[in-house]
Amino acid sequence: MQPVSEQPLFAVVGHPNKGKSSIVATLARDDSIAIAADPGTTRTAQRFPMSVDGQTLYTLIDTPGFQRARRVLAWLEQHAESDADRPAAVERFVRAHRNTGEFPDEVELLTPIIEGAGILYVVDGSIPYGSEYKAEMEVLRWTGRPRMALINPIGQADHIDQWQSALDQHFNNVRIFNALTADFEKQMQILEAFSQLRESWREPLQRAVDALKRHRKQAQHQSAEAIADMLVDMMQLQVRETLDPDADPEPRRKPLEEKYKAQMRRLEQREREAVESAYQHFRIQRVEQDVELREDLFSERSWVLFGLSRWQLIAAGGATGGALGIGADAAAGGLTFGVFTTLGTAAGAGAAWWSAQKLPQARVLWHRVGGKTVQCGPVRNPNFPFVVLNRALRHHALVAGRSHAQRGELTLSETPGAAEQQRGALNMLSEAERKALSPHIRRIGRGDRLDAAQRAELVELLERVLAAQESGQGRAGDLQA
Amino acid sequence: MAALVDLAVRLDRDRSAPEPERRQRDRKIGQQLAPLAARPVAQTLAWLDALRRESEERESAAARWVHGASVALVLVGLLVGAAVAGGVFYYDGTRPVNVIHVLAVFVFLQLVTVLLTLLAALPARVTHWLPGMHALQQTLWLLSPGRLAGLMTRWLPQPDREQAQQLIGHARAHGALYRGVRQWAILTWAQSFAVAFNVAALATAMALVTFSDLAFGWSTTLRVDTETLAGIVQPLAWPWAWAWPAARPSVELIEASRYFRPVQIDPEVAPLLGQWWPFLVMCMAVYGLLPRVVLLGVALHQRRRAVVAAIRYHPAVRRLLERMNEPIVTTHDAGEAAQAESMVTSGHVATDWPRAEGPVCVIDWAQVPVEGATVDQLLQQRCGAMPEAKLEAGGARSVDEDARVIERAVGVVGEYGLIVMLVRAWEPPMAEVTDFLAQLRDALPHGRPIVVAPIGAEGLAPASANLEQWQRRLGTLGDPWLHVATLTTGDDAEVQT
Repeated sequence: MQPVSEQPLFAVVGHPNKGKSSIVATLARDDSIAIAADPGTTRTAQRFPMSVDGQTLYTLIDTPGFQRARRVLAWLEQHAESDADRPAAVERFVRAHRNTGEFPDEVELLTPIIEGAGILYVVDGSIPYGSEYKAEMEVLRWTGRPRMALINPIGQADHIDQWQSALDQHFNNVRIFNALTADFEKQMQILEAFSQLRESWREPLQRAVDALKRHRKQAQHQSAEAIADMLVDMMQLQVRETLDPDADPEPRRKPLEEKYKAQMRRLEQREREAVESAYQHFRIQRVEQDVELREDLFSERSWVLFGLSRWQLIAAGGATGGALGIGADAAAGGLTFGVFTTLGTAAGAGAAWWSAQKLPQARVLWHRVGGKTVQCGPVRNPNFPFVVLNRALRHHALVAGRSHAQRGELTLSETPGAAEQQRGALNMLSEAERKALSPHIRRIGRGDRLDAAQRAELVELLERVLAAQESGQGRAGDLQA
Repeated sequence: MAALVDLAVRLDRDRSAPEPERRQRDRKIGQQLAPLAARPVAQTLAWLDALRRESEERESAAARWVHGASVALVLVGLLVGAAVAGGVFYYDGTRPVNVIHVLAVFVFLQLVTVLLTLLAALPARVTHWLPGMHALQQTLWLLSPGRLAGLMTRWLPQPDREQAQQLIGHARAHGALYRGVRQWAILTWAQSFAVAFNVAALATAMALVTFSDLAFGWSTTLRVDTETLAGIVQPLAWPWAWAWPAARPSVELIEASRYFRPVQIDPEVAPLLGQWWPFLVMCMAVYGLLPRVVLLGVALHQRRRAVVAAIRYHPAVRRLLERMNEPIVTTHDAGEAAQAESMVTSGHVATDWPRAEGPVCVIDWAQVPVEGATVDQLLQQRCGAMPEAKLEAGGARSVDEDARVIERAVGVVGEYGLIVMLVRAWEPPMAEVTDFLAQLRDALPHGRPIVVAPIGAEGLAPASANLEQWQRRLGTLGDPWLHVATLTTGDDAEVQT
């Protein structure tokens, strides 16, 4: 029999139920693994290597479940010459039945083991222990490989104690790991536990855990960036249309509002998708309502020339006239006591005012010089960015805490009351963090642009919020357990 | 700045490349550039270099356009400067060159435009407080000669023109990021133009002074006497008077060089008239050229800072740096889709209870501690007879023991009986069960019904999902006399055919 693999290699074995594939999906962070209700969904052994920059640090192998454990054991007992011969007997079994089709599942699951994998034996802690499990545990013991048992409580009932005492008789290491609800911290703990199977596996597994933690921080960072971008974009969003100076704006109201809402929705979707893929969830089916926009965002504005409004034009005219006046005063050597400046400003402003009256009617090449702009947005409600932020934080909490074994829809429901919404996610922050975040959010709410340094600060603060969410979840989880 | 343009072009082109490819390539480059990880701008430019070396490209067309625009503006500035100087210093012998003109064009006009430039370049924080300032600034920007550079894109050949215009559009879209760069770039170009203008003007003036005999005078319609002019001119000469006294017009010179229309040059005074030239040349140099050179220096410095900031905070650059510096962590092979061969779901199994026409034999595969009496009662209800025998199979028993159980069961059932097999509903139907059923079927006489009754964990009723699972799996056996039905009689446990 080949020696134990140098590189950490784990065969996930057990009864044919969804427990094994759930564990593999969770640890391999793969939401594409088929986890069907029917048994025997996995027919071939599938490898899930975890690598950093192309270097494999450990590999999980999902296997089909034991289907005929007793017969296998019977064969082994017949063909083993002594206790020391047991691992070799297993190997002979695999070789003998490789192509016969008599024991397809057992050959599939034993092959990686005889090639050097360690064993992770998975049972469902929510169903009662039965004596039929003895045979498969015995077969695994015969392989002589390092092994560990995982109790995965899939359903509601609790038979964990029963399992614990049954498994303790066959395994040195028994752990409870709920693949569906385990948060990131618990997943890292279980990986670190795997390293107890073999001393030489400790280092690569530790490196793997470190890389995964760093990757998670990166996901938080990317989520923070996506949220910051979304906040700024949403608060600055406006849709515009230019009409003739004497056109009626009312018919354009509804279509413009629809367009605005559609773009808002798109901005939110983009952020949701960015967060989900940052955490490697590519197949989430999200159920979420659009954000509520309570104010009337429709407005119209007339302008005169070059997009300058009347007042802007007058100011520009006044300033120019004033500048020329200053020149004339200077030329006169100060004798005129600034009369020219005053006159110049007045003349300039006056000329601009007069032309402001006339220009909208003027035509240049058959286009009216002046015009009317109708626009929808931007939102100026100071509460709105908090509402959007709370929604985003809630979504992030659900996504970050979602194990990759979960296959249900992700539903984000609105909680009633705007004030509650404002308090909601921000409650998790410390006083200092909340104080640091508010001015940024308020600045965004006013529609100001953020310069690069402010944006970097906002992203950092959001990162801390997201990290706090995670540890807060962990605490809540402990309270439940 | 050409580097920024190049970078923008490259990043833009990159956007269409598929993500995994980009990630791999950039991570590879990033690993090589690891020592620069703390200096993002330097690392980004090094990335650009690495890519250029790989594809053996030189600067992009857009970068070349940036250079070309600067050169073109300088040339135009030189031409215009020479032309204006030629015009102002024109002397055909009839009238002296009017000093007032020279001062007006090359000193006052220059100072005014410098002032306007400074106004236009005031940062937003200051203009916020002055009403009308913003509008004025906008007007001034519209008028700046630096914007000619943008217009020049029209004369570029086709593919370069598209690229250049795309960049300009892109810069406008990312307003906040590029605003600084745009402003200082326009300013730099404008100052290059102005410096070239002044240099050419100065050179032309010097050439004319050297190579022709010029006479200077001053004349104005305004009632200005010698003292007044001296009061203007002599303070102007203050910056260089200590180094070059001849460049400071004396009162006598001013007195002597006034002329009126029609022009009559006093022959005694004629030789003096040329002595204006040091003053004029120094004026042009100090009030025309010098501020422009300083402004150009400032603009170049600020532009460089703006470019560095734009690179540093550009969103695509941020993502590039992440791609380069974050290790690629994969937890599964992305390519393989998990194989899921679902069990063949077609197949029919009866879901009702047959009537017992003979002895009933119960085979307990479940080992659920069930009250014997309860089972008997339920069987009575379901198939109309009490069990004749109860045997146990499966679990930890050996396969041989199971075979013996089958023999005994066959013996009990005889010609007309049926077999009821109790199984655990929550355990999936495994090959061991189906093997057993196959053996049982082989051993039984033709047509004997076998009823598989899944037992639930709580109170005997199985969960409907589990029941269906057993029905589906056993349906694939193709056994026409196999029934899968529940023992209990609750409403939801009742299964209709």
